[in-house]
Amino acid sequence: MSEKRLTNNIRTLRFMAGEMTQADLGQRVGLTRQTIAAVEAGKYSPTLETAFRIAEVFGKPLDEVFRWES
Amino acid sequence: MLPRERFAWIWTAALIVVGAAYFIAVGVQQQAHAELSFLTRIATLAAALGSLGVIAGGERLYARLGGGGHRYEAPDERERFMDARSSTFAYYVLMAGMLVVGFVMPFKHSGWDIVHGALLAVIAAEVVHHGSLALAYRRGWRV
Repeated sequence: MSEKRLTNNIRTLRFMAGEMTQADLGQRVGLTRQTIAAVEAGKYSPTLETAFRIAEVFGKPLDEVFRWES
Repeated sequence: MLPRERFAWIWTAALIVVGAAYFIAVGVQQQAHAELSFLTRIATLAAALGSLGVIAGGERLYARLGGGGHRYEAPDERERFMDARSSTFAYYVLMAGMLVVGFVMPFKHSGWDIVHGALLAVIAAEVVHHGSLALAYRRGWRV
């Protein structure tokens, strides 16, 4: 089985959303700034519900925010 | 640094310092007097537990006062995960300690030695719990 991991475009999407800060995003989805930083760095995979919440903040479908790739 | 991380470090340091101080104090007292009175032993134990109680009270007060401007009362999903994983590590340490205290020590030791063995196991488990939680905040776990 090939090694796959969850990646994301949160940093880019924050930039496109007027340089939204990690703290702002965290506040909107109910996470700490540190947890958003961990998600961005790929050190923590959020729950499905939180992933949908993050996508909702940016107004994007889930697969434009998170990807499951090699 | 988040308040939870700060208190994880404080608890780790406090448990090591208080635990070491308690066992050194008991050891010194035992060397000075062949047999310690029950009251002396209880007073030493109460002093150690009391100092940990002060930290617990301080943490509650800090949380009650708003956690220094940080969110404190409601941990997010990653913090809950880190706490659960740290508790799992601590459970294994406590289980190992209790096996020694319950299955090995009664055949070679008695009385306060067993109490101290159990206390050491509890302190070790708590050090692992708070220490691994503090490290998780600092370094993170890939999950």
